[in-house]
Amino acid sequence: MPSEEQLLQAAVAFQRFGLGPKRAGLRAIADDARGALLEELDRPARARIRVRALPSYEEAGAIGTQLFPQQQEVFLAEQTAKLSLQLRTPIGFLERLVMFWSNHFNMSVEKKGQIRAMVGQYERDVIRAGLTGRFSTMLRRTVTHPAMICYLDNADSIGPNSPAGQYWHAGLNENLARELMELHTVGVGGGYTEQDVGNLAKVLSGHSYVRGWEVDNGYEPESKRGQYQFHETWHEPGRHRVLGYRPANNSRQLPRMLDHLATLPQTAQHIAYKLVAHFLTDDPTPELVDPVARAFLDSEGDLKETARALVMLPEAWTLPMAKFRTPQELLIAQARALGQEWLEDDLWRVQEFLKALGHYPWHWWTPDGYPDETDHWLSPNGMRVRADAIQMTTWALMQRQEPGKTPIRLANSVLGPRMSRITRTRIRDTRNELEAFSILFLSPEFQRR
Amino acid sequence: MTRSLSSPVDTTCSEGRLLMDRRQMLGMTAGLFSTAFMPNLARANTLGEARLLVVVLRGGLDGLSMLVPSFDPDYERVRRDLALPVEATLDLSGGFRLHPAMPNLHALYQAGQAAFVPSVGLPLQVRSHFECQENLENGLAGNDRGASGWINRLLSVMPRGEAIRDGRILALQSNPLIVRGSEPVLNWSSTWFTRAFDGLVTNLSDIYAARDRVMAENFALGREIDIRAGGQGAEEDPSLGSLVNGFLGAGRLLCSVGGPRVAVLSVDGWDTHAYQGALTGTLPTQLGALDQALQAFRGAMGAQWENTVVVCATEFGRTAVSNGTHGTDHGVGMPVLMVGGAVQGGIHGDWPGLSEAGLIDGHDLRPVMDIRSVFKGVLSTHLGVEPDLLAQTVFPDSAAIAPLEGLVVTPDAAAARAARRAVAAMQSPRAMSPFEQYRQRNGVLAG
Repeated sequence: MPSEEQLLQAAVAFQRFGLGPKRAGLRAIADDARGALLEELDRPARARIRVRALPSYEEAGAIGTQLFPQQQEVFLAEQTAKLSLQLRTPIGFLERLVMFWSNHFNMSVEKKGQIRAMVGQYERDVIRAGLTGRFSTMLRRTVTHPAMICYLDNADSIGPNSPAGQYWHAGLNENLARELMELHTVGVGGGYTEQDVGNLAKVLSGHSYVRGWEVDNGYEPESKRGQYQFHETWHEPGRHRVLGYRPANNSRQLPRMLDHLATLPQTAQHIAYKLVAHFLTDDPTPELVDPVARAFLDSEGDLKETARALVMLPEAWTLPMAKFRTPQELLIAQARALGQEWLEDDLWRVQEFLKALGHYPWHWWTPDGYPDETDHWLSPNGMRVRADAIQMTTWALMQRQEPGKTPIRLANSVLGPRMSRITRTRIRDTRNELEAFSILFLSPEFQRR
Repeated sequence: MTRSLSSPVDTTCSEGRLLMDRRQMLGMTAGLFSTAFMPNLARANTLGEARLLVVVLRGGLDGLSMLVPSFDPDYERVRRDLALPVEATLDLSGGFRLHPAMPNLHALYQAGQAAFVPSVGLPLQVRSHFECQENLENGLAGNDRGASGWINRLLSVMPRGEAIRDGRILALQSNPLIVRGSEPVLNWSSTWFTRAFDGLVTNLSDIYAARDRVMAENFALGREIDIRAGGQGAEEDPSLGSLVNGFLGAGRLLCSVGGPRVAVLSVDGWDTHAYQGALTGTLPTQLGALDQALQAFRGAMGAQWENTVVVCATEFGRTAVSNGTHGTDHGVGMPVLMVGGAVQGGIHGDWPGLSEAGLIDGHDLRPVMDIRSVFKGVLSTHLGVEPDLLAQTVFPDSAAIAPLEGLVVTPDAAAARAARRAVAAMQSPRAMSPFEQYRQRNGVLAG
């Protein structure tokens, strides 16, 4: 019989770091909640999605140059596969890290079909594959991925002094360079100047992907459709200094520059801050951020060590559960608690839920990603729509299969000692099962994390 | 704090009484919505009762399908398969005609309450939905990134204590860039989900009140807004669809006591690259839906319609020339549509023409003015925003962009028009019969 303290720790692991307990409830990891979280980090293969029907990098790139119906088909298949894993995974710490990093490198599928077709493949092969690897690896693969090149407008960025730039009087696009500094690495106030941004854009110039029209007009072979492509003749010649580093102008120039940015202390602090803000609190303090940043720096950006440092913070287990589950987290936690899968024929409900709550995957317009502040999600309209939407999904999941437990037994199992007296009373005394389950999923204890 | 249920209700709005009755019926307290909004009601209201709804038509509206320049000698040559037969369209003025899918808009135009600016352009003229929507919404002079939207900056320059500022910005369906910034934003979205049952709401309200004050306050306010928007029970009729329900909710909230005065609503689905349809089809259906939604909004506004300007804008026009797939591609010049009791109806601004020389590169409508001229024209007359504030804060670096005059009726003109309408109403006391409406739509059968 686990102690109350053990159950509370399990609740922290499941709710703050994971996607919620499954039917077995908090007891599943109550022996050693922290150990269970750390064990997930030792098994990164659990975050891999290997579904045959999903496209390879080459296939996804080519689909990116096709039409909307083909791109949308892939996009929906990617979402189905992802949701299925989120519901099956034991605790969900790895999945939460996937969500974190995908949002860190946010893209919107509404910008272009290239992104719609490729963003799922990007998440599988860059985020999931690199989840416990080095940040510099993830950064390099991101920056040279067609979806990101497309999203941040680097495809036509041409150095003005390159042969192509001279011939066409073409110029640089600084969008990717700016966001790389401001959002992906060193962060605002990271000590970079406009000149650093301009120089980074020069380093990035010529790193493009092959558009459909380039193949159609015979400029590129069919096999390169939608694939990453470096155009030597578009690349701004010379060496360019960014934040004190000036790599030689050769094929290693961009990777070296990205490695440099990926391992700077400013980057470590920025990443650590974002992790603490996402998982622990809206008000990160140096006591929380510095140990995580230190772990990042000391391990040269090893993301497993960084995540481990976050879990090892004593405050991670004692801070009040003041943040608020995002709509995606809430929806997944609900199905996990009920022991249900969202199957393909009901996927539209999932989409309606997330669209209504403004958290449909890869639909945040700007590169800063979905906001992480509690205020953004805990809003009047958000609270109202959550209640209506949870009532709807609870009903749909109950239609699928009889819940194996009464509402009060389920509440005991997933909330454990965190359940307040009033929540317990109201769930117990509500005759209507749909209503009683809805109270559980909408309770502060279930929604706060 | 709770407000007495006998507090005054805005009876000028068609929905005000109904909403209060329902709340009484439900035994609810008025709660946060009113305590947040009520305190300034007693103050002098120098802005009067002005209401503004900005509708963002996302995807790029094919303006030539809505506002049809039948008089232009190049119209049929340019539009080819998309050209509308003149006899099928509805007459506006100056030779312009309207798509027959928009009979309600036609009636508004005839009543002097609808206006078009036929061809405006964004400061940033590229063909990306992404960049153009950003530019339309941030109101900046060009390809600058702006983290705030011009509607938010508009409210930031309105005087505190005025209902227009204290009522906050209302964002419907989503929270787009145009409303983002330092000023607080209220959200409401039309959803088809059955509303949480009474028992669930009561239990949750009690639990939140006992355990989590922030959740309690937000839940109460969210429910209050939803009720005022008509989302409760049968008010939000799922058969009307979320477009009409969105506009209905906007109307109800814009005329609720102490509620928001400025709202933004997005309408998706204008990106018509293929088989858009001429008289019937995808785009005509979409135009008809907008027509019905605007009519529903007008109904929900009741008497406040007289104080209202609705501005419908899109991120770019579409190619004047039809493409190879019976559609239109991303273009340049685009119309702005305005409706409302405070709108000075008619066609404002010049027509660039569809001749080879008139078009840009032979396929795009040439803008005759910056879209900010239209926005500034509305804001300066309708809301009385000072020119300096418009040129520096609301639309930074836009001193060279003059407001387009004459879009909004001045108080004197409004009074004269109301008098004319009163006379007309006496002369013609009955409503138009369905047959008259039919004839107005379809014309008289030729012998």
